Amino acid sequence: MADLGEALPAGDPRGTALLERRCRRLLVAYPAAYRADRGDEIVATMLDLTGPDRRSPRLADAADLVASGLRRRLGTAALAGFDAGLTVAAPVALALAAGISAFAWWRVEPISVGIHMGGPALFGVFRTLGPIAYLLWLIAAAGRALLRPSVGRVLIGVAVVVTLLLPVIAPFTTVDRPPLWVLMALSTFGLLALAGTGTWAGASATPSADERLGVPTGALAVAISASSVMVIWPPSGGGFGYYYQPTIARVGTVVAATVAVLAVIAVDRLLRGRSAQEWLWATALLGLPAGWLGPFDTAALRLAGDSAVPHFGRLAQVLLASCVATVAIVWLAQRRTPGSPPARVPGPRSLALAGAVTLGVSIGLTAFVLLGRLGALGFAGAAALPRYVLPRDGLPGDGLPGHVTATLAILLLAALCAMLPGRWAGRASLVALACGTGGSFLAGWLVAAYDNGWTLGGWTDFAHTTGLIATLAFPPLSLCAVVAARVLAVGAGLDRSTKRAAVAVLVVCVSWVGYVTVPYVLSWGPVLLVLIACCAALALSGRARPGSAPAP
Amino acid sequence: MILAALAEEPMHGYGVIQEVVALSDGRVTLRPGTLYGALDRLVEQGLVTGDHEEIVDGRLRRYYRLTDEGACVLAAEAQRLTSNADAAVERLRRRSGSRTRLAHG
Repeated sequence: MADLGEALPAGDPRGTALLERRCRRLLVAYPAAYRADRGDEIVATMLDLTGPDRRSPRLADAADLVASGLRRRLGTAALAGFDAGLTVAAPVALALAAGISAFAWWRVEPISVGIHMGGPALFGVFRTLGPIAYLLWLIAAAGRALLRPSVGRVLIGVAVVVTLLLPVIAPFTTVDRPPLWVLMALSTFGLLALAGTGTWAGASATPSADERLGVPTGALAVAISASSVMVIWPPSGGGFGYYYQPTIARVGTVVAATVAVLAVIAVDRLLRGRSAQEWLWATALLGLPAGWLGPFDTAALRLAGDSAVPHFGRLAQVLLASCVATVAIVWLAQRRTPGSPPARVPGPRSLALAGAVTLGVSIGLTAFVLLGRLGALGFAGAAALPRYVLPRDGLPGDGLPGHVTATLAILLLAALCAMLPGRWAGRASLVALACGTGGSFLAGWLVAAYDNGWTLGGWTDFAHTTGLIATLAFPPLSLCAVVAARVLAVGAGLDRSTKRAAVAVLVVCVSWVGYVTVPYVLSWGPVLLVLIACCAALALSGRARPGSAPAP
Repeated sequence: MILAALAEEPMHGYGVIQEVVALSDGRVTLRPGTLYGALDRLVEQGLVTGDHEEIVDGRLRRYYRLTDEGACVLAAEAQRLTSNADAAVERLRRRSGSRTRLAHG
């Protein structure tokens, strides 16, 4: 079809019709209602802009239209300071991605061995596949300095895609990939850089020399700083674990310092009575991937091998950091651009929906644990049964660690408390329940596979695996806590039962998440601490409540 | 730039894009997604409003015009830029004056 279109002479109505169809396809990125209202008008502008001699819209116009449609669909266009925050965060994110890549290639790769695969170095050079992605990140940083912004964005996109493909490619090679948390952080930094350097977010189409040189300079600073931290704070251990600790904890401190600088600028501006919304957004957006670069070495804090108590590992760090960053983002999203419809005021229905999701998670995780206990879903049943049944290693007699049982009970309790005042919100509750059940069951299975070296069966350490699965309760408990806090913040017009339910939900959720994580506060990743300190400072200052800060 | 483009008369989307290119001497090219996102914001802020629609060669053209509030905002921004430019010109004039005095010494 494309070939036919390209062969048509300029001005041929069939060619114009083809171009129009292709433009309309791009509009799918917009919400249906917006498309119905503005679609014809936007397509007409696209046709005028593209001219009669082309059969396809220009790539840059098409990318701009899709990005703008997604912004409209996600509702970010109505968030005060979001676009400006993205443009602040984008160069920092690219500098962090390139700096982490340079450090990992320079200081970590030479001492790492892909022990999971155990094979010889690929092409006699690569110990892991990391340098392939690292090279692309360095090229993307150089491209920001030397090339047109649109070309630079293509380079960032290529780096993101290749980074995401490494875990897929690795099993077909003789070497391993870098840790998933590193790849996830690099990719998300890249997506932020991609989103924040586009003109749709308000980024300059002609960046200044400072803006161009800032990224490679920042990347160099990140790599040297991380290397210095590694010299001052030498890691212990060896092999692939050696890759984890230098990369995650040492880089994490440098990334934390970077995010802390943004947070300090935001707080300083707030205290001076100036607009800080874009700096707060930049802190929260960068805090999400940055928070994944932890925890610190927990060997001294964790009770090794004791599955009877919850432990704080990488999964818990990632989930907790994501929840804290998401809470910050939800809080910032309360402020809207002038003229935009205000944020929806939560009430009993919101609480009921959060409860339905949590009830679904409770059902999904309980079903997964019970089926696993029966030897299904990949757990080795009969062979491992004595380990489950016998009260050894501090395990209770029923084979399930007590904290896992308690977490499942807390999920159920939080869900019931949340659903009490609003009861059942009809079809929406049913969908929320189904999503919670299906999503948590699938997530439980993925976590079990992850905990067992990405195998699909023969899982034997039931207590350890279910301990990890229990950390999947953080997101629904955080959701309930945030909705309950917002309901209580609205205050006026609420009946007594709703207020009581919200207080109960808040107490139950915050207490339990605090109980299983606060004992390990010293091993939390640094960015997590920075984010929490920032949120606490802002809450205490009382200057950044929605609607009270000056307009950006 | 969009407010300035609409200052003289109502325009449709493609017209705004062309006008912005002309106003910026070709340095700024608005892409369609960015343009309509910005127009949405300006309409929500009450600075721009829809004027009329027409169909040309089967294509819908929706015209936008500046509101009174939009004109005030544009005037204030133009005044600010003019003041900055005047201040810069004044500084340059004083600089060249002092250099001339030094040269004659």
